[in-house]
Amino acid sequence: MFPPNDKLLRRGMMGLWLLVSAGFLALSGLLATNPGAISAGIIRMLGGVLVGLIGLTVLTYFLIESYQPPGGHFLFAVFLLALAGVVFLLFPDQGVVLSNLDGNITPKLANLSLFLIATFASLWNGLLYYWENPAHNRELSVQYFTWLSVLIPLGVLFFFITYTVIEGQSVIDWYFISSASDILRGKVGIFPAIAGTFSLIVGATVFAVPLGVGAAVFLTEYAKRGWIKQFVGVTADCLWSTPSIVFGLFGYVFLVPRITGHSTLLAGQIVLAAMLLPLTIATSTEALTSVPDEFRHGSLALGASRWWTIRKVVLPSSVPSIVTGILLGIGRIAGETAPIMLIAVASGTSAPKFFSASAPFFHVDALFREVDALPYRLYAIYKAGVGGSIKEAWGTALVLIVLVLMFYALGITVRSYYRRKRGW
Amino acid sequence: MSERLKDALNLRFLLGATVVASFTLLFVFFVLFQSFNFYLFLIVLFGTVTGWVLYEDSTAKALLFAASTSAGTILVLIAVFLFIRGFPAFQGEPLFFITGSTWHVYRDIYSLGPMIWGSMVVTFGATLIAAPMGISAAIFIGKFAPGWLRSFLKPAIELLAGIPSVVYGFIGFVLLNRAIMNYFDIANMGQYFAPAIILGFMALPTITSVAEDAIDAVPEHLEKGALALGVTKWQAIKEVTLPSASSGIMASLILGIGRALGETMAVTMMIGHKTAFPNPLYDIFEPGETLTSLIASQIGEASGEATEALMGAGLLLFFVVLVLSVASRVIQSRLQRRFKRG
Amino acid sequence: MVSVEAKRKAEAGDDRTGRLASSAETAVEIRDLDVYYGEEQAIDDVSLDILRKKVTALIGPSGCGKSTLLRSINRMNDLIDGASVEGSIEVDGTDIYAKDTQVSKLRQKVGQVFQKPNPFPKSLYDNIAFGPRAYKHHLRKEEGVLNAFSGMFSSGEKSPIDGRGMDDVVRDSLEQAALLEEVEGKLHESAMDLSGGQQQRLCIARALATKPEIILMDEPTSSLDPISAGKIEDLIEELSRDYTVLIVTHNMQQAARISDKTALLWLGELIEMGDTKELFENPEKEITEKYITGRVG
Repeated sequence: MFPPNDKLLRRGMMGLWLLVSAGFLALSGLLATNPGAISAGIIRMLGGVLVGLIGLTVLTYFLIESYQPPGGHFLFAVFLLALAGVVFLLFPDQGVVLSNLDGNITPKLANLSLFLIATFASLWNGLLYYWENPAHNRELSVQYFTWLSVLIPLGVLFFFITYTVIEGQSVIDWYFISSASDILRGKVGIFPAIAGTFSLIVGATVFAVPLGVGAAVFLTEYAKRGWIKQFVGVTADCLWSTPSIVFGLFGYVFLVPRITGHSTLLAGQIVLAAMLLPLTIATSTEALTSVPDEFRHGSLALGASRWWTIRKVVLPSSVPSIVTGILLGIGRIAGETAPIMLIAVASGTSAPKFFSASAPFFHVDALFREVDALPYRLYAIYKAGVGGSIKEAWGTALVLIVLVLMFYALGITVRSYYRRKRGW
Repeated sequence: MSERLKDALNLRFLLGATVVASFTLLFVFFVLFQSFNFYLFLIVLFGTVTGWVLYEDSTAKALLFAASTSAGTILVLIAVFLFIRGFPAFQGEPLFFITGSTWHVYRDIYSLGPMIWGSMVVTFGATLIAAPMGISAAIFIGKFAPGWLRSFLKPAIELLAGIPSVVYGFIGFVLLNRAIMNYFDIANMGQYFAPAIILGFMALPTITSVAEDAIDAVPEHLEKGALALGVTKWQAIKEVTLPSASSGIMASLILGIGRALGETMAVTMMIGHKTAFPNPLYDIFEPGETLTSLIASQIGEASGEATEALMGAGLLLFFVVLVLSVASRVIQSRLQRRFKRG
Repeated sequence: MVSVEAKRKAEAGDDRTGRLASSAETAVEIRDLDVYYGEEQAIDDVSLDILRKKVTALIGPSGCGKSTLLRSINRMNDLIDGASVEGSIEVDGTDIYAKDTQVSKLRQKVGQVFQKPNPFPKSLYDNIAFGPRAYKHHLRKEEGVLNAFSGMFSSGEKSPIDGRGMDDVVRDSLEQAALLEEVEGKLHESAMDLSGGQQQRLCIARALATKPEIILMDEPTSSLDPISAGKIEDLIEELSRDYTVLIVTHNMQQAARISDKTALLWLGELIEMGDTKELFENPEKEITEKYITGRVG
């Protein structure tokens, strides 16, 4: 793509970058004359960033041209990244005042500008390293970018989880997770939401697993070629990508009128089952096809029927993988709000009562009432304006994350345990 | 002729026909007339149990077949009912509905223009973040990471996808929106910018996992062949592996876009809910609305024409994501065929 | 294309075309068999007889159709996409490709041992009991409970474990497969823990448990070490006292060692078949001679 080590080309690229930066500078100056359009603060920041970038670019260029350090741009890239990190971690609210476009930069903004400058300059240097080196010498740059692309999302994940734990753990106590809120006494409890989420999950699993595993079995064991494989594959895919709010709408127009007419736990379970179904089909299909054909042949050669082979050989061998798939799927749907918002949940409802000490010990009518659910709690607090309930919100978020983590961990554990144990 | 009749009248066939007929009736009644006929249900139930006891293998096969039609049935039901309730919104003045700039509930004027713009902006921003990072991450996990790191990274990325969107929305709202408000002196608690960033991280795992599967699927001997010719690892990846995996990577991008487009809760909590075009159009720091956040925030209190309009929005959303999903599959198979020949 | 001379030989009973006059001694009669995988023809106009309670070996180069022929006899070929069959195969006088054939019953009668041992990931006991249990299910369910009660299916089916307990069946099969001593006391451990040779003998025991009449073996020793292979060869000779054995092998010495009759296949056609000793010492056809001496294939 770029001829290696061409001084002219390098200078040309630098020139281009300077030109682009100048262009942006001019643009932001232009915008600055029309401050009502976009927030003035952004303009100031943009200006600061670009001035800094230009300066840094020129500096980079001359430093590297003069001293030709080994690894050149790459070293610089890493250094700048480290600088960005330091700025981010050490100066969240104060900052080094960098420039003064119209005399009124807040320290926070200057700090943000510095961070952005360092980051972008770092990325640019990484690219430079890539372009400046011959095709066989670009590994460092590639390593740089790919490591970054993994570390950033991981960092975000880590940040989210840690922040939630820090903010939420102060609220969590036994009362919080085992009782309902007592407004009069000012105590907060989210047990009804936990019970509601639990009921939704159980119901969804009961509906989705037989259908999903059954479909997978049919596809892998009975339908060899043919349209049904394509059909199920495409529809499962489409169902999987359907937006969650559309599921909610569907529940609203189809299920609710046909089940009592108001929000019910059952409707929520069915809709969540529909969301769980494609994942179940996919993971079960994978689990079943990984069972070696030798087992099937051996069984059939003994005179067993196809169904007996499935029931006694194929299914038992694939149960752990299927279970893993289900657990991972449950983790996904436990946190869904949009589908159940309209059709199953309401704030302030009590936990669904299925069992009672007196006959008849199992109440089905709990299925036909509304429930509370963890993700919905969080949304409801947001809608009400957060305010004083912020601690409760963090606690709910933490419980939700812990729940999801639990299912994931369980699923992965099951998978690795049985993979080691199974002997094939 | 009578031979075939005799064959047909055996118990297995009769039983099967009865169950299938009752089930069909049950289903039709449920869908069309909103009634659940308990007697039909009992017939189906007892018929199936009898079939299981008498003819387990055949009954099992029939049940499994029925299960495999479930995904398709649900999809069709969704499409049909969304269409029934949503299409009326497109009749009358379809162009205005789609491109008009006003959504005013009190004045009963409904058009999706601002929301379509909002969805596009937010999805575009999310893709800008998710695509390069997601694909690079896929390359890292697929090609550069040692075994132990891979088995740590894959679940970790999956976990990123597993965090519920309400939690993303909540954290985004409480942290990111507030930070932007403070840093940039913006009066509102909601703009296009922040949801785009959060959405980027939500769509990233989708892109990474599908792209990584595609990269993994490239047979090793292709890369090894290139390496044997003396090129570096990256050269082999760039010239051999990535082109071979290009169909899968494209598919991953389309799926990621679909994911961003359909994301509801995080966007709803961060976008500011202003159902009008931003002025100027490119101002991403103004509050806005996407198709998903529109439906989520208004469906609770909507009635009459508003509900119809929201259903129309839902229909549009469903349709677009459907097209993306199918397109992704088509691209995958077509590119795969081309590369197999080449 | 049978000449007058060959016909006379056929009457006399020593016929290198593979067919015999008297059918009381034949367990399997194959006539004019063609097998196609889609467009490709794998077996071309093959006719031969498999003698009861003898060991018959099928030899020939790779791809000549030996395994296909073997699999046609218990209809395991049906599992392959696009496989089609013309001609007839009669097992015990019944055409197994007839419309109303019950394939499960056929496979109970005609057992198969595979090239690579394939025990189920279950205990030894459950592996061997698998066949009889499957057959019990088949009797009850596939025929229909009502039919079973009214005895409407033919020839008074008796389950292979007729009268005996499952324990006895298992031990009996293990004994016949010369494995019982080695695994005594470990019957409920996983079959995957056995060695390769033991696993293969387990598979043989498993096939024996359904009381078959014919045992098909597709290169049963090719994935085993010489000692285990030797044990299995000894076992085959033992088994041929009570069972009809058809063994596919690419190892001519093995065929010469253990079989009574040998058939040579070449590109889907039957070249020659006869008493093993005769075939190896006095081959009639040129191809046979060339193959045996290693000059082709």
